[in-house]
Amino acid sequence: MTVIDDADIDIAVSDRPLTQPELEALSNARSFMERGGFATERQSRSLAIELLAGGAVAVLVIGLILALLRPMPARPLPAGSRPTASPTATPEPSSSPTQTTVPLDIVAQLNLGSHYVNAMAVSPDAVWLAIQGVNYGDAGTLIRVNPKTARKTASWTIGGDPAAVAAAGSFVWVANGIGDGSEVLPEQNTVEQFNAATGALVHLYRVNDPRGLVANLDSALVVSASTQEQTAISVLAGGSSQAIASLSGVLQGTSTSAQSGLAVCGHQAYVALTISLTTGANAKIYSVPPTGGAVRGIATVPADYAPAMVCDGTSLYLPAPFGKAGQGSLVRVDVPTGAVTTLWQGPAPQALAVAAGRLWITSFADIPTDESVFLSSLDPVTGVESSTRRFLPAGPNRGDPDLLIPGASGFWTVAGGGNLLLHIAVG
Amino acid sequence: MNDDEAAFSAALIAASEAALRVILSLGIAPGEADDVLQDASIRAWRHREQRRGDFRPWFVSIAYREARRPRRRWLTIPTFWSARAQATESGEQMHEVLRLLPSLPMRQRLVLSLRCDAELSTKETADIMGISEPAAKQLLARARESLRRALDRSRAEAAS
Repeated sequence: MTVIDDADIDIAVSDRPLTQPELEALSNARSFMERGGFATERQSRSLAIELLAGGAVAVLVIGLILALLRPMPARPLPAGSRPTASPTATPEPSSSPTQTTVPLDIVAQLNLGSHYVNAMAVSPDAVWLAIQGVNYGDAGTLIRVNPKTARKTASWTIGGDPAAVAAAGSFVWVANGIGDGSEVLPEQNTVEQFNAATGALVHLYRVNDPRGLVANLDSALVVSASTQEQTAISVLAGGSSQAIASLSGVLQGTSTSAQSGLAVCGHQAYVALTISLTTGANAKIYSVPPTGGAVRGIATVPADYAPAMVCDGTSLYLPAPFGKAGQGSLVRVDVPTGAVTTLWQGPAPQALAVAAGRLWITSFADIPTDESVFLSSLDPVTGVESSTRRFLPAGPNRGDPDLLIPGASGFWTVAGGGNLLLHIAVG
Repeated sequence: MNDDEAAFSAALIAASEAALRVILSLGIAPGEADDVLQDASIRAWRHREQRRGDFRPWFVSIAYREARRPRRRWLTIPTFWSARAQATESGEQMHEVLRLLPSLPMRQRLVLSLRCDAELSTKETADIMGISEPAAKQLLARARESLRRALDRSRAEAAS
């Protein structure tokens, strides 16, 4: 065993010099503190949100005008009809064409002010938003939104750290996490089953640190952390819980049911669990029927790939937002064989969605000074990116537009720093 | 700025580096750590009446919570540890320690940062992490042990 005492380790940690970007961050924050920004920022941020909302309306108007003028886009492949490449024939990442920016067609939007969306689910007749409390320790809110108008139609109190939401049939389910563990949160470590029409609480299930949900007509599959290194998969129904499996690794991530390491396609749910080791980490992907059944290992991917997974009929897709030289990438996992191939490389990918036979992706713009986020699409077989991209309105806090869920027409996404719900048509 | 704000500003600035280092230990990039620190200072000002005890551990705990707020995502293995490993010149062993820090689990990195960067007591560290004092001590010991083992492995690999 190495001879290095505790004091040497502590000194190595505490004496390390800050890098230049870290010093700049400290300098910026100190300037903010020095000028008393902490006491006045609320007003300026409100103004910023208003400006952003105004800008979004302007974009909408311009977009509508240009949409009327531009030619109709080529009809996309219908979902599920894309050709299936054999794993050995999967190409290397292709170079994408030069891109032009087209207007963002915002069909409807809802500004949530000082509330931030933690999780979103889309059902045929509603968009469900799970929102954390404004202050840490406050209860959260579940909001039902009319998908045609993006107007709020109902809201109910939920736990303080809503980690996932899922809706199907007559019920909507909310997983209430444990937050950072520093204080007891309302309804922490529970899953709430609500009547989707009335908001009445039908059942409350005790689940330790629930992180992902899949809703069935009268049950839900819940993925939860049974310990720091172990994940439990259970089926909740009729007020009771049935354990399905206990697996090594944890479901990490983005705290959204659609963008966490949990994806549902056809009759299978796929769960990506990160296995932390002192030498690094991998994510192992399993499949399980959403109503319960045998768990099967599919593949293992390096930890570089964030556990934000989506799927189509035969493949799983995972993004790696932070690669070498600031480049991110996407991998495709062939479900039947478990083969893992790099599909695309480009600016840091955030959210993924599969719709209309294409893989949709939100990424941070590759201009270092530009923090905005854009939406583009890829061919899921070749990885070739479309020649057009649409910029999303980003807010004061980057890193939030990672909620992207297909709806009846286009997508639902959260932008504006996490408080702006957008319904986007993509033509 | 009035007297209250000026005093608060001075206290914030004094605690800012410790808070930044804790935020960075969670894997947040410097560009976002700046935002987190500013948001934490806003939150601290709003809740200044609720402070009990010393300013620094109180502010570090707010910064920690702000960094862990669910809206902030993509917490990844920090790159700043490895960047720092290249920056240090304080001996080969220290260099190696810094190089291996990113391989520790997040909670082990965090407990090291809270104890060494923010210089918090075991009790303050335990309070922030929501664990008991014995658990905090155990976690710190495990973090140091993990580093020693990683050093052993690294040296064995280099020798073979």
